[in-house]
Amino acid sequence: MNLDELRSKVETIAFIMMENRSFDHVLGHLSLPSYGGRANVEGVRDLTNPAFQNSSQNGTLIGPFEMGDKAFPNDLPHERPFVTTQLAYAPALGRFTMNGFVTAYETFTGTSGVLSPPPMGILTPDALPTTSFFAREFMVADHWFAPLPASTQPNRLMAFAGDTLLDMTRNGLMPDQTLVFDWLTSHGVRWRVYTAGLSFFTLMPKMWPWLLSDKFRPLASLSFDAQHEADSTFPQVIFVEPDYNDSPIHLSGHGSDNHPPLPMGFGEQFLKQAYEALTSNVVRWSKMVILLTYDEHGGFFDHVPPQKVRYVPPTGATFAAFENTGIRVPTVVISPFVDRYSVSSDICDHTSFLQMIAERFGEPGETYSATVAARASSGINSLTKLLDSNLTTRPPPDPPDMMTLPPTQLVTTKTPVTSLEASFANAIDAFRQAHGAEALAKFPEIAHLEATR
Amino acid sequence: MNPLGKPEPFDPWPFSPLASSGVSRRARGRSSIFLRHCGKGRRALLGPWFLAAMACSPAVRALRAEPNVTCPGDPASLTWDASMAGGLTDTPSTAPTLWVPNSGSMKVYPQVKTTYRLEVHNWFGSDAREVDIDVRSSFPTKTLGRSLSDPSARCAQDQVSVEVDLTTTGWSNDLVVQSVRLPDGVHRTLHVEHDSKELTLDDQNRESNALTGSPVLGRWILSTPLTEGEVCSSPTIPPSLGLAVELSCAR
Repeated sequence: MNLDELRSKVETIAFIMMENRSFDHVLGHLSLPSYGGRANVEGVRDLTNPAFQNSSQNGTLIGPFEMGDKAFPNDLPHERPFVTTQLAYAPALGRFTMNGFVTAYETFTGTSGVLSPPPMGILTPDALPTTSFFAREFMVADHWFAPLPASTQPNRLMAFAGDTLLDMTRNGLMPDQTLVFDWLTSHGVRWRVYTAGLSFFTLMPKMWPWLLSDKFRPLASLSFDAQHEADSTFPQVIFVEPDYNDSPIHLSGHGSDNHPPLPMGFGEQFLKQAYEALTSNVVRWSKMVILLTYDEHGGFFDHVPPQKVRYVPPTGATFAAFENTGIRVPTVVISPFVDRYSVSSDICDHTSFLQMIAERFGEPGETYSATVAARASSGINSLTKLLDSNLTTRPPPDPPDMMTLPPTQLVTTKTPVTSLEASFANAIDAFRQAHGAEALAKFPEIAHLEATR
Repeated sequence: MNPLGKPEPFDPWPFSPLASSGVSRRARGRSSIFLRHCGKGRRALLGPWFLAAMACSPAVRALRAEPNVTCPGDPASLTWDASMAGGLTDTPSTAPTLWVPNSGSMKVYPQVKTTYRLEVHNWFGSDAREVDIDVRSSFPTKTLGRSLSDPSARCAQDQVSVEVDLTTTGWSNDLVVQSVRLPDGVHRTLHVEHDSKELTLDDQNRESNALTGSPVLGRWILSTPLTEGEVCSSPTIPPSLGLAVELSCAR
């Protein structure tokens, strides 16, 4: 799709970012002969391929294996030093070998001798009814990378700001960077965030006034808004957020962002709900692009090495420059502007979304930012490139009704353990202190958390 | 024999909410008390109630099984380190949940492949680790090998090599080699050095009994010659070198 077509044909762009799974872990099965063997998808074509085997501490090599949906005993390593281990750069060969996922897991968890280590699990379609439906009906982007070989906060900042002051997830509030919401506001673009739980942006104090405003609404409102809201107020850019597992509050009893140790079933249900709401107005659907991706790989195996894209930290950041992207993440483009069973192997990362935002809503020739433009010059394509304007508009297909929910203990509040969980808890407390009853009225989850303390 | 062995003396109420801190429920909300009792290696943050609570969220820092490839009845050592006492279970189950102190080790004598799980709970959350001990009298193929990112990896003008050192932390003394072969999908020459013996495998000779009876323990050197036109940076060089090995128990 060229830029003129983008501006004339696309009215609504929606962005859904899930948590912590790699491409091979979620969509690698698409290439397996037993699940259709799609030759055009760069997945795990052969579980026994020696190139996929990972070193373990006891001297055995462990390959990927099929796994159903389940809760994991613990989280997987995915901070910057562990990603370095996972990429397993081989000086003797001058390249990444992508076989350090088991070693990183054993080091992180203090374990040895795990015969089927979670990082090597390849989910099968029965565990992924909604995602499999998307992969069938729309476009799989099989070369979509997390921007940085690091964890959640740096990669989400790259996705929502095109820059990051962090290279690690930390347990305090996040820095108040200029975000895509500022860009959209300054360009007069209507935007809104729909949340299934407490928003990730609670972590950023600058977002708190917006959190309390009509810019943030519960996911349950999305279907009504899509069907009935006037064009003059309906958002041009929609962000749909899952219930983050790292949040200390889940009124439903569980998160839905697919962050391990969470199983996938709740996330699949969330994605179905978001898709059905977004596509509930067929007219709006006909001019809509939905991007579904994951913030980073979460410690799971992927066999495709990262792309060489240098990222120099901005002023105020003190970490060492990144020399390459992160690991591939599962990404699907859902739109009438993509074909059924289609695949794009164009090199993209989360800043590809920001490129398209600027192309659609900026002045002609305007780029989103110097950093995003630099990544484009290094080979990161715009999401626009993946769209095809010549397709006949089709109504949104219906997702499967049958959902499988894995047996999991339901817990409405929990105590933080990881850095991101601590960050969430810290942010909620600070948000509550700063905005008092107003915060409780908008987010009753917080009142629930306080009631259970 | 109870494969989980006998527990050491420990807190009789490991799963009571405040067992490891010794803090009464009435004291909840007083951060300083929590911070004083959270124990070595635990996060200690100043702040409101839940941040103090965070300092007391339980964690399993390690659970190791050594060796983790053994013959039936061989002893193996389970070693763990957690922030509080917890429950140790085995699957398939041979005993009820065994309550163990926050750190320690014990001998187990599994007869079959067994998964051990250590789980810790308190008022503020839970954590768990799982490890396996692979127990058989004769093993289906295991692939020994290393990534070429390993510090032992070398790429010279004519070959790529890597060393694999198998020790008793991973492998039973009783395990011996039955046969070795090229792993499925590998179609290049592989030289193997182990137990003062050398052999070469290739597409014409994919399997060898030259190491039959050798202990699996010890240093293995795997190398593959570069083919014509290949250099160290060639994408055709595999990311790891491996050897498929069939093992059995000597006794």
